[in-house]
Amino acid sequence: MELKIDTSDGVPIYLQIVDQIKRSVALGRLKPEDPLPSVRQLALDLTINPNTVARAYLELEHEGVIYKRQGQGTYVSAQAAEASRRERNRIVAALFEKAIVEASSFGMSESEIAEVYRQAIHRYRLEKS
Amino acid sequence: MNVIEAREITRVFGKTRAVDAVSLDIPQGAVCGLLGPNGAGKSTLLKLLVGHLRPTSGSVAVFGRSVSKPGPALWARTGYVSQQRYLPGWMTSAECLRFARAFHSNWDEAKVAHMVERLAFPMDAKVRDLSRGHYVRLQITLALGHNPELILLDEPTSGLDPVGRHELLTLLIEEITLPGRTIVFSSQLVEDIERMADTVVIMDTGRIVANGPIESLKAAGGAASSLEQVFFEYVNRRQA
Repeated sequence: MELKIDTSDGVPIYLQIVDQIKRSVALGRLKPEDPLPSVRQLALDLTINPNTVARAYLELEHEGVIYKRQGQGTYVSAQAAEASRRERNRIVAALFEKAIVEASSFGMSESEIAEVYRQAIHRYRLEKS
Repeated sequence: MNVIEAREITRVFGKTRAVDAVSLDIPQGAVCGLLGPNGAGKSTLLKLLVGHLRPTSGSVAVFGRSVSKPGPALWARTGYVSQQRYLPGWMTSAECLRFARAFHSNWDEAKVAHMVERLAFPMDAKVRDLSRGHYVRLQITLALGHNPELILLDEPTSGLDPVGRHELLTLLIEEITLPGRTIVFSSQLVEDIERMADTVVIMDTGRIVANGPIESLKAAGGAASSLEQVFFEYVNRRQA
């Protein structure tokens, strides 16, 4: 599992871990029943406070992305796919939102934005076929 | 439970108030990072907290007991890494370790042997001949050898190369995973604090100007503020 911590970021480190693990699940790099490193191991790998890793795992557990097996460690849960679908939608929605904000700052109307979207989808289909 | 309770402590050197009316509670299990520019009073505060200096006024209690009369009961539970070279220059590393062992009934021979092997500082060299990196490694071993519950470190990563810094942070991470450990450390590197601490205390001109969980301080600084931005924000208020 490849995680990267950016301490110059305004996002708290525990949230960076949460987001990246959810992203890995959404991309299919982490699959249900895959094991996660122990809190201690991940803290050592990333050189961060173990309490921060524990907090990230707790958050992921609350969201149903991972679960703990008594005395055996932490695993990606079966419902992770559902949780990651929501995550995927959230990521894509955020990208669209950015584009919409940008478009309206150019003074484009909603129908003009919708037209650009339709053309983009059309080009994408042509390229794929 | 608070491991450290400092009440309105002030320490005056000549005309300078190095620490100025500071009150601070540090709960058990916390990893507290002390951040501040040069001369902010970080080292003085740490010395007051371990009883190496007496406050001009105010009081400090560690494990519920006043540090104005430090004794074996307190030393057994506390480890301190100073920024200064206080170890006698004529002693060798091995002699320092033997000396420290004699003071601690709870000296952990296996842990010390493991640390000596891992940190690889020269055992037969005299303290005065040790490089900054080796000196810090010896000091850390001395400070952790008796498995103290409370560990205070004064800029432990300063003057270390990237390898030494990583090694030291790794040791700290391993200590944090042990039950009941409380750690207070100062640093000039915002990154060290961000990586290792759960709460931050920002000091400037002898006073605590901010104190809280890293995320709360970041959140209070507005959207997407890094800890560094938060730090400059607090320290620059003085000039404004």
